[in-house]
Amino acid sequence: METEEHLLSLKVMRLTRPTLASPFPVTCDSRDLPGNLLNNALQQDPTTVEGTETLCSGQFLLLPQTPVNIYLGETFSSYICVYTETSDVVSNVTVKVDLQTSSQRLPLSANPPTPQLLPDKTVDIVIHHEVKEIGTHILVCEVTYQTPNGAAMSFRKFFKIMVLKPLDVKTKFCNAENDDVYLEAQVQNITAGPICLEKVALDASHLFNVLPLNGMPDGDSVFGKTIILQPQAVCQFLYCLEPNEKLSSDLKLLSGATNIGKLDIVWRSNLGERGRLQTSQLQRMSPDYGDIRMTITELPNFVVLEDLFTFKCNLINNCERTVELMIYLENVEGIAWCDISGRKLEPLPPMTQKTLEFKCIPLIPGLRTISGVKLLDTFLKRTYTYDELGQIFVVLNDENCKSI
Amino acid sequence: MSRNDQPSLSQYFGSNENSEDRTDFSKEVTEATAEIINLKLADGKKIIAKNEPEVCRLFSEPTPQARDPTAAFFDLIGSNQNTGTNGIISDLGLPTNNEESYSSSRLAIGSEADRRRDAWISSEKTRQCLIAAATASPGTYFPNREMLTMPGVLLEEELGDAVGEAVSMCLGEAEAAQRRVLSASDVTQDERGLRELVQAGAYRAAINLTARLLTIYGQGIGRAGHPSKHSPHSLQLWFTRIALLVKTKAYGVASMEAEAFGHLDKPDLYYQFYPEMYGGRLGSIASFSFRLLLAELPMHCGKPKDSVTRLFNTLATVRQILTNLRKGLCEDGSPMELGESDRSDSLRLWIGREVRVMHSIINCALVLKDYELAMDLLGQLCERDGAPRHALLSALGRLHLQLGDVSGAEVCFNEAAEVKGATPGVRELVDRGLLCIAQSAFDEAYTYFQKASLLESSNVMILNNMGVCLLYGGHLKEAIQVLESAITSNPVHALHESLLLNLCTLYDMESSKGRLKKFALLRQISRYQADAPATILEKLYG
Repeated sequence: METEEHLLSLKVMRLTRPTLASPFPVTCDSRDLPGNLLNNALQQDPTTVEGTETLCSGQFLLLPQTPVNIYLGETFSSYICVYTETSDVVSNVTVKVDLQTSSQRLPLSANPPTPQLLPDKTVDIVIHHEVKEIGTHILVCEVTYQTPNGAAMSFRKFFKIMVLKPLDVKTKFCNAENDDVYLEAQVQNITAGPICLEKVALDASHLFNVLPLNGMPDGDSVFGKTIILQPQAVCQFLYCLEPNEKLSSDLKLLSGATNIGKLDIVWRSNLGERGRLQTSQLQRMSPDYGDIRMTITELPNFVVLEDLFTFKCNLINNCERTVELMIYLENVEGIAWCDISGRKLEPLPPMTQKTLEFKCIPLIPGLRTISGVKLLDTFLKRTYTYDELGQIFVVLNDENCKSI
Repeated sequence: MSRNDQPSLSQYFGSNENSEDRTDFSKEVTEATAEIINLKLADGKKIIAKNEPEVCRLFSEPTPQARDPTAAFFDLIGSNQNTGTNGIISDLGLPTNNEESYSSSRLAIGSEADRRRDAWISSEKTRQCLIAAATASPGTYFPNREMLTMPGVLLEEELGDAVGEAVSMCLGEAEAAQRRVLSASDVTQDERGLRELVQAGAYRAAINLTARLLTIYGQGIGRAGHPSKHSPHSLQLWFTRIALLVKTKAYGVASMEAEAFGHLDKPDLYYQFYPEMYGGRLGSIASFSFRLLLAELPMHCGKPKDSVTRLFNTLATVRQILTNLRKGLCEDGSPMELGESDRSDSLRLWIGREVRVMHSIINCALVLKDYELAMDLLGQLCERDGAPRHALLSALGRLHLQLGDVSGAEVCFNEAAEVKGATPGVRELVDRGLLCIAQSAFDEAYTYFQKASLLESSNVMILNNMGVCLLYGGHLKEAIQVLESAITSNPVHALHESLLLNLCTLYDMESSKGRLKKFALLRQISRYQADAPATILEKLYG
């Protein structure tokens, strides 16, 4: 509290959005006891909208009556008014407005001094500031002026503001076999009221091409025209990130590319109050490709019972030395290998790849899993086992195969 | 609004009501009150009718119309389109001079209108009870206590003149003595006096009068939980009382007093329950407005979800009635031949009610901030044949704005403008202004409001919105001037709760003289208003 008597006073009002007021409609039939009186009263109410009297969707702006939370990413706006308490003329009035956060002090306004403030006049300042930190902020208003007898005076006022977290963003990555990365982003509204998500976009790192998977074939959003999030509600977005060519050709680089990008979120609440947040750089777990990597490149979906089929795999040597490998094909229920097990493959130079072709005959109809491929690194005596490489559906005859 | 076959957005504001719909309320009330006085209750107690003569006098001695102080007002509202003065007056239950002239044909039409209006489908339990009542030999049927509606006035004391009290506290007794306001004792102690108070806006006084009048029915102070008989008139008094309690925001009292009525589905609230009194008349004694009001009540008391449930139940019954009518049945589903015009009138009435219930659900959804539900229903209303699409789309646009969907709002406003076609009117300009506010363009918004103000210079809402824009633009003094000018030019309408809240907020900002300026407002309210919400009064002297 100020102990000194000052000639000037200062007031601050936070300018959150106004609301739209409307009366609560109480109506009756003309046959009811009050006749048309209640309806007339409603019609004459200035907050009623003509033509939609019984709907609470008004046009009458009501200034904020209760304190509203402020959230990270929103714009903090305030009206600062300095008025005189004296009938004398006060001169050289300056008002300096700063915002003190936990880490820094931001100047919000430094108006040129008002040479003379007449009685009944005010100094009016409107400040806007996009809040970028969570936690306690202090609005510091400092007023300096000269009294009529020339004495320089000053006083300060402090206003505390708590900045809250508006959204909770949870992400989950999935590294697909074909090197695409899938990102699931769950955006939860942790504000006190419903919000409308205006924009959610993945601002991807230049190493990836983004394909948002949140639309329907006709281009509409799966969420409908508007994404309304009630308090605590969660909305999930899915993105597919394709590594660009340079990246996919270099496994080291690919495995090192853990920065995926940032999520850019814009939301609005009451009467268009806007907030914007960008997540920090999203990191995926770097995929561990090991020294040797084998992935399927070609595999039929349907095969005919007891008919030979082939599938192809890509074998990559991911280490700095030439590897020599033995291939073993183990027995799998329902599939017979049509190949030699325990044979030696040609030496694979460092950072190269080759295609392997396998031949099999399906023995049991139905859904079968291809497993049982083993590679033995003869130098390190290390065995790599590839189970569940892929799945095929075995049908009884060709006709079925075609009809499917 | 022109009269057409489609229901207007709200039948309450259109003039498309069939004059046949309005029958002599006064007559049935007379009958009802006459019988009530001679009535014996199940528990054998006689109703103590203290003020009996007053009520009876109203109905026995027709007052000449010219002496009715409110006649001018009724003439005024009756002047729109095809509603004749005479029709309005008799609607309101005031006795007319031509009581003798009610011919039998008039009565037949009247009973059709009664059937349409009062129709309701009771719950199965109530239906069984009503059948028992109708089939029992007269005077032998006594239902369980829990099947009875036993209301009573709970408000122990009469409500005082809140404005007057505030004035004497802040401005002194001398100032308070100058206040001229109607109290319950200044009017005739009957329905007409009640209307006089309501018309003057003296809602608290009117509430006091309803308590006095309900005493005649054995439903006054302390009578809750005691059996009493119901009539159209007693239920209309209750409807008026609770409606006014809601209007004065005395939600707690409203809700407690309304509790006795439950869902207005107890058997004693149906005409069938009193065969000896109403003959073969069927349907609900409580009016549809009362039903709607009670369904909405929980939302004012912090239980909006209860209201949603009750309103959807009401909507389901209304739709069942419409289905019955379309199937060629009577409203309640009984196989009765209805004439073609009778049926179409009934369909129009019930479609209007369906729309009104949907509006209430939308309002309730807004209290819940369930914008999806509100938008869904409003969208459905827009699609209906004959709907006033431009007004509804404009409302839908504002719903989008409230939620924060700015682009969605713009789409609605554009569509509304397209439907309307002609040059933008006040509504369109104001909507555009609101859209600007959503985009933080307060100066631009001001320009739109200013344009609207050129069309309707005395429109309080527009002036208010201009004032709000001025504040956001950093012009506090100008904002105050605009709001003050609105009050000066149109004190009766501008001394409105929301505008006063805005102005008080500005006064608080402007100087340390806010208190004096608020007292000046209080003086204005004292001069022009019979009543004011407690929140405002507290703001003025707090």
